[in-house]
Amino acid sequence: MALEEHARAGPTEFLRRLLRFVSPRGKVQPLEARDRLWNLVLSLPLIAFLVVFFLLPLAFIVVFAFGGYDSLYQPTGRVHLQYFADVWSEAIRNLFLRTAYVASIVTLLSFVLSYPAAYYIAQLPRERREFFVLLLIIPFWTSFLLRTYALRTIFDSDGLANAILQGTGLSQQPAFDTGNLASVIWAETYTFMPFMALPLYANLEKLSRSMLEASYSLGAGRIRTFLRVVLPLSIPGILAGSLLVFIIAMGELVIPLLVGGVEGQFLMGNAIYERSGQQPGQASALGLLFMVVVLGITFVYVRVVGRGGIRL
Amino acid sequence: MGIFFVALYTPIAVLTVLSFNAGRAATDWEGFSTRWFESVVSDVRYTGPFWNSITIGILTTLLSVVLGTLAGIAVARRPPGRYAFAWDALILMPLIIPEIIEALSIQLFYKVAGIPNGVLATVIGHTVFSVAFVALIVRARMGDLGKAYEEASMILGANRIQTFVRVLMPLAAPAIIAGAFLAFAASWDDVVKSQFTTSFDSRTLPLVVFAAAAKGRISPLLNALAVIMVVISLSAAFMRTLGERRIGRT
Repeated sequence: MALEEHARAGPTEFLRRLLRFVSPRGKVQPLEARDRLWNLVLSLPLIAFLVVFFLLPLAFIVVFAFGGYDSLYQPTGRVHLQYFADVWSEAIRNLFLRTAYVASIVTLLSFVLSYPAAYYIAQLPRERREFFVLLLIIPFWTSFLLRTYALRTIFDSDGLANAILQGTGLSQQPAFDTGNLASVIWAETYTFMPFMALPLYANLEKLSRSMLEASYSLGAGRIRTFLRVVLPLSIPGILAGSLLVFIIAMGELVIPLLVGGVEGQFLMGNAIYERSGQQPGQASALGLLFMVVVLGITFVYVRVVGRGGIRL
Repeated sequence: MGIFFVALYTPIAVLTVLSFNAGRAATDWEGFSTRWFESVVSDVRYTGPFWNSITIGILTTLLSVVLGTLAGIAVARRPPGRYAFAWDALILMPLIIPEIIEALSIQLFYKVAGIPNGVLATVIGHTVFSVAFVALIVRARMGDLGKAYEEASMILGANRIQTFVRVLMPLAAPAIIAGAFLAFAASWDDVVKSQFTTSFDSRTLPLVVFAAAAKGRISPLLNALAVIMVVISLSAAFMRTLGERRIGRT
């Protein structure tokens, strides 16, 4: 039946037929609203879950930070800034800078170490590429806790690396040790490197071969092509990887506890962790400040890299 | 480049080798032995937490699959717009915010609400981040498929619930499976949230490893335990890859 024939049946009948077509049960309700309602019904369980067990707890951080509850978890019925005053000390500011410093070095090191690997994989033929990407992803699946623990087994002062060095006579003194800030940096770099390598690879893979060829044929050498063509074109990947690693490294708690010794304890995550038991107010104030910084960085990240950047 | 991957895998390889070392020291090889594995599987200090980890992991996965599948399918049906971004933000935030802050917040919440620490408390805590994996993968899969299947089903007379159960869910199945294994792996490896939400009786395997390792005890027993944990994670990874292969095929 042609559309006009339906229309000739009269406006009410036409509407009824149309609705029966788009919604078989023929309930007289516009499709748009019904669709939206059904979407809402489907997503409501998750939204409700996250609101209650994610957003509401985060709201408690704000309430605790402003003194709405005391350290015995009793409501105080007033608001004060004492906890912020407590944590806004020279020592904590230094801690913040130190955490940012560690995270920056980790980001830089992971970039330097994973860029060549990502570049190399991107140049491979397709079948072999998939294999190496799989190799990059597998570490995500082996617990970072265990990999950090494994690192300690190797690089402790009485670990395997020193034993090999001394056994082969390369070094008389133990060359490696854990329990300091440097070991935190290395362990974090090692653990977070895939987070850098994957976005870099995703970006470099899209780099068209013809770009390189154009550059070569216009007389640029390999180094010049790399510096003037490849590197500028991979900036989105670099930004994505860097901010990802930076954010994760800023908040890391377990690696400093495992390999950081005393030095590693003076980082943001650990400072919050230490206060979480006895001083929930101070921990919340610190956490709130920290969260504002991290979300600020993420916001910049999303703005710069675009929403497509945060795909897992 | 070769060095990059060798470096990436050496530590776990070393652990695996050492876990079969008959001797106690990491630096001396005293012959092949499975005695550390035997001790681990018969030691209640490890078997209790092992079953806790399994229970929490499975419950987390179930909850994540139910919530994540429903929402993932719903969002894939929605045209991209402002709400899609808000949804992305809500789902991804648990992965972006430092875990210590989330853990602290849920501790405050539980204490104020009077919810005791234990298996259920940890399952809820883990689901907050695990569900993201299921929801994101299901959404990506259903977004790729478009609305044609659903429309066809409705035109042929199925109602929304029939369409959902008989058409959309089977289509999403490979993605659900892939997401489920990721969700399990995330729960299985978690330290920080578990630390804040478990009771002594419900503590998980990573916490046992963490406590021992933080005190500086490196023992072949722990090596064996670590290898068992890695094998379980990797099996999950393997199953997930199988799931992805199926996505590729259909």
